[in-house]
Amino acid sequence: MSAATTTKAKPRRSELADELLLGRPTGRRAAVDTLMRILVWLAAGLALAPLLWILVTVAVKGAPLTVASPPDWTQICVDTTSQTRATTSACGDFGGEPPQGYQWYWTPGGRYAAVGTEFNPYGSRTTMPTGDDIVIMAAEKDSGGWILLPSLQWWTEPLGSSVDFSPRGGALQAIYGSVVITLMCTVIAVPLAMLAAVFLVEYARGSRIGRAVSFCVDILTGIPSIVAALFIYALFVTILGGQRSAFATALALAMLMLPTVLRSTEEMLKLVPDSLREASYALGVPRWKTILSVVLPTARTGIITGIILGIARVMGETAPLLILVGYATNLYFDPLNGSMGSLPTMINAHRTTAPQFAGYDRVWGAAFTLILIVMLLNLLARGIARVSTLKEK
Amino acid sequence: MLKNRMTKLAALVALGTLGLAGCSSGTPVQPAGGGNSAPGGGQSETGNGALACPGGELVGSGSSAQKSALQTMIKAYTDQCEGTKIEYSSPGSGDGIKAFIAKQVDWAGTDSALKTKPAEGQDASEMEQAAERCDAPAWNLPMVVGPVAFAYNLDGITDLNLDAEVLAEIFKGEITKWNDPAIAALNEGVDLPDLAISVFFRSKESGTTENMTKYLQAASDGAWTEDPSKAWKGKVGEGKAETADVADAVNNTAGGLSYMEWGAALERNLGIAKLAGTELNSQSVGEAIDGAEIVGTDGDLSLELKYDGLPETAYPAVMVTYEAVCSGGQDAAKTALLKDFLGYFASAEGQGQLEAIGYAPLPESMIKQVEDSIAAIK
Amino acid sequence: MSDTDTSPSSRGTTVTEDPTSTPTEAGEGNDRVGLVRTTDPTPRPSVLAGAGLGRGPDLGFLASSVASSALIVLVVVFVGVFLLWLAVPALAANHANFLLSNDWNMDPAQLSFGILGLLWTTVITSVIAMVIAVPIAIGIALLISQYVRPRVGRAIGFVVDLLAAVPSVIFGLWGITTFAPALRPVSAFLSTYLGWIPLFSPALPVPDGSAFTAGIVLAMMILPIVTAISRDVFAQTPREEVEAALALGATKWETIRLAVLPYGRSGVIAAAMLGLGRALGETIAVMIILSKPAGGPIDVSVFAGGETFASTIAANSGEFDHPLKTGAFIAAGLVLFIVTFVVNAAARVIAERGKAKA
Repeated sequence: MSAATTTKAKPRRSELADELLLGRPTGRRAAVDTLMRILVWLAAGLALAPLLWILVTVAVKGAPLTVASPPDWTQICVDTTSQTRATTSACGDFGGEPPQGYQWYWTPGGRYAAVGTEFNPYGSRTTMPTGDDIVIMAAEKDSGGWILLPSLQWWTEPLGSSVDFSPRGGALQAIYGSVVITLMCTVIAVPLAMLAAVFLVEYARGSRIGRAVSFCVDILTGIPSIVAALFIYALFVTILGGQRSAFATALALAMLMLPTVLRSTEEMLKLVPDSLREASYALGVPRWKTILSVVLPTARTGIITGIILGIARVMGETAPLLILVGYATNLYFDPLNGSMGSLPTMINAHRTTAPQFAGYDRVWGAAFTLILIVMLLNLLARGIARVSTLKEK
Repeated sequence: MLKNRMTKLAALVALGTLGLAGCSSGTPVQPAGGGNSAPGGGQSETGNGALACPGGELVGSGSSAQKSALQTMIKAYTDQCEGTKIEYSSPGSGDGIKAFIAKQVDWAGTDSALKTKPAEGQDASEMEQAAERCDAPAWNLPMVVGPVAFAYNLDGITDLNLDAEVLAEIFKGEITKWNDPAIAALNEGVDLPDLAISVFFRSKESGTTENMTKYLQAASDGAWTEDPSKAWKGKVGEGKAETADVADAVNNTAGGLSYMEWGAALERNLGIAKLAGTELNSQSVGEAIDGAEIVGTDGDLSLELKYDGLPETAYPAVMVTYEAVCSGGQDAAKTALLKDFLGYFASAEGQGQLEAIGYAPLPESMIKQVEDSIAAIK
Repeated sequence: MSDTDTSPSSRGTTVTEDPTSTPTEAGEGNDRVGLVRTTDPTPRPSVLAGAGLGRGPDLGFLASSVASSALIVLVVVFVGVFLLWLAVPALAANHANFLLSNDWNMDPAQLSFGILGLLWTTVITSVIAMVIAVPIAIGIALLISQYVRPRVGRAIGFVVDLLAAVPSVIFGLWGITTFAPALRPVSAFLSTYLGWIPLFSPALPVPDGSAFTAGIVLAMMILPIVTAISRDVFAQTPREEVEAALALGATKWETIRLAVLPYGRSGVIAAAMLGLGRALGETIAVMIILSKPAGGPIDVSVFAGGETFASTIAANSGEFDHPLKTGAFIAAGLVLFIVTFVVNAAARVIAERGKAKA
């Protein structure tokens, strides 16, 4: 809708008359409309730009590691006088002796810097590494790069005893742990949250009890993850004598997930028109059935959004995991006892690695895996919602 | 319809990453005369004797200063004893000791030996609580010698000399610029820039801070008056959570200065200051440890380190990380595995692997005593 | 979030008398055509007096939903008790003014701690986050639900949902390594031209670890939550209302202002409160980004470092070797609790007052 134009020759008319005749709003209203449109687009662009930046960073740095892995060592040529990387041809034959002033180095992992950049010998070797199954590739590009060889070790192997220098080992223990813990947490939190939301909207709307419960949920919203973790530690581990375990973590995470699911369920339930409920009662449908088959399904999309948001948030929480289940590099299966790996603690443990080593890339790989899992859950949930909507029609 | 689009998008992403993966920009190289690592399982030859490889699971936790050391050690051990699962996480010395006392882990890595005096308001000291947990005395076994490096970021200056007194003044905020006369006096002929010193410290309570301040207190001739503590007592600086954060901050700030484990400075190629003219290398660190006194009793090998009055060739700011273990009373299978693993850790072969990653090996005399203590664990 | 029922479908008087009467207009029982909601302050007996309370499964259902709510209340009470039980001895032993000082001496013999600095940093980072994130989130939600085609809207919504999944430690890592250096020119610009205001005076020599950076990263973290819920709320605006507005010749913006926004106000406020909860309680990202100052007087500049309640508890949770020390940190956590409650209560009051005016 653009601003209407009035030609000078027209006699003066009221704005309303203009609108009725021309069918478009004029002057100030149209300007405001355009302004708000611009602002809304600007807001979106402004916000989405850095967010897309993060997503792209995670994807570019993390995705390759999920389908490929670097070699154990990369052979590069180093100019010893200036301690910078030299072109590969300067050192001659890969198996042979380099000329004076140059030296072969074997750096761990697949990353290598561009020719001319400063070379840090820390972690590298001057003699060719030996051992069973060791993969050595020689760097060919002058511009620096990242050698990757197709492999699914990310999904099939736990990290095990692999060190930060070495690209060996995958994230199986972390993926397994994250999925198991999140599953347990969802099973605990979602029914509780939905039932409580139903209580607040269907039974106790406006009453004092409803206000009190709502107030408590408000407080729960603001609990930092670290306080929830310390509380569960004190209650479950110290007082009740439970074990630090995946289950204990699920309890703490459920405390964090519950407000999100509850609030969005509540808001969605409130938006369901009462007329629907009344029509159902008018037909003689009992209360509980109305809620289950009329109200909840109507609010379904929003409820699913709330659940997915809750899962997304809880999958990325680190503090409760550190306090209640520790970090493991090997694969453990017991959810009631002992530590388990998880993606956020894997990120936390390896974020302190220097960027040139393989351990650092695992951080981004784990982040990418997390986002991938949530994305798949999201698609799954929306797919189910759509299928059931179609079925109803 | 949306699902179609999303599926297409997902397929594109998958193809893209596979494409990325497929293109390797390197040539495979064959290791010359393919060597072999020791066969898995069963017995294995080491320099000092066979590894028994009893197998099983062990969990340890504690200091982050020895994280790389433990990683390398666990890898080397499990390479030779396949199937063994050993975990070490590094939330910090204090957390490790707590977890050890609460029976959640089998051993704790700590930057200072378990305390023998109870903290204010507590009835039992850490040693006493650990003894209760173990049903036997708890022993501190020094395993990792990690010097504290003072890393700086000054373009073009590869050689910087500082000493405890100057450092104390910098951390107190009395020296604020790099070209201060006190620093210049220690660095004849070096062109120091007119740049503010950006001090960084560990905001988390840290054993590294505690040991560094022990050094400052002992060697600064009264310039550093605060008691050594895990929390930062300096008057200036920006605190960052982990060593890596501090090291990154120094790396990203011109004029940055901080203290950190040697490995962290090496990883990022930061300049490392000499202390009173002594360069930081495993030789000079070894000489400093040589002067340490054992103050523990029986199998406990708690050390009292000397920071002052050391020979000129010794690097004074050293730190020793202990493994706090139960000397008895534990499950037989776990004890066997612990002894085997620690035995490898303390052996010459084990300690020899630490040099390349920013630690100094234990001196020969100490290795012998540590091995004796390990053998005495029941 | 609001408990006095003010959703549009509750307007009118027909429903209070006879729960089974069908309203004259399909969908809304109104005696007033209009785009402005009336409030119905009386509680709704029809809901409670409705069909069949007392039959078996009904009772079971009611019991389980009551039980869930009771459990939530119980948990909150327990958490409160837990925090108080740990904090009170430390507060009693405190030598300094808890609320007004900025000391932090953890020596059990001379315990003195004050949370003024923590309070300031927590508040300023959350305020920055909310001021940036909420308007933008509303904008994006409006874009998705009102301005673009449904398909495009779903795609944008999908991307926003993905962002909710980015773990907080990645925000911290990306924030300090990539984003903070990029933000340096902005900080320099602001502190140069607005530096005469104490709030924007230059503080850290390199503003990577400032509350400003942390606040913006927090804004990015809470944006997905606020956007997602707002989007769903706006999408639920009844078609009739929107069409009625358009039929009267309202511009797009006027339609939004008159039909969509009032309808979604409660939901948007709920979304904003969830976002605020996340911002106040965010631990790891803030711990990685913020630089802790070495002590001394509090610098009120947004370009100074600091610690928030959550980040200081997390950073020091490993060293809780003494109950008084634990208590000091927990007392800080208690203050966070209270701050959250105060803000939520204020938001609730504002929301209700706004509705009453309409």
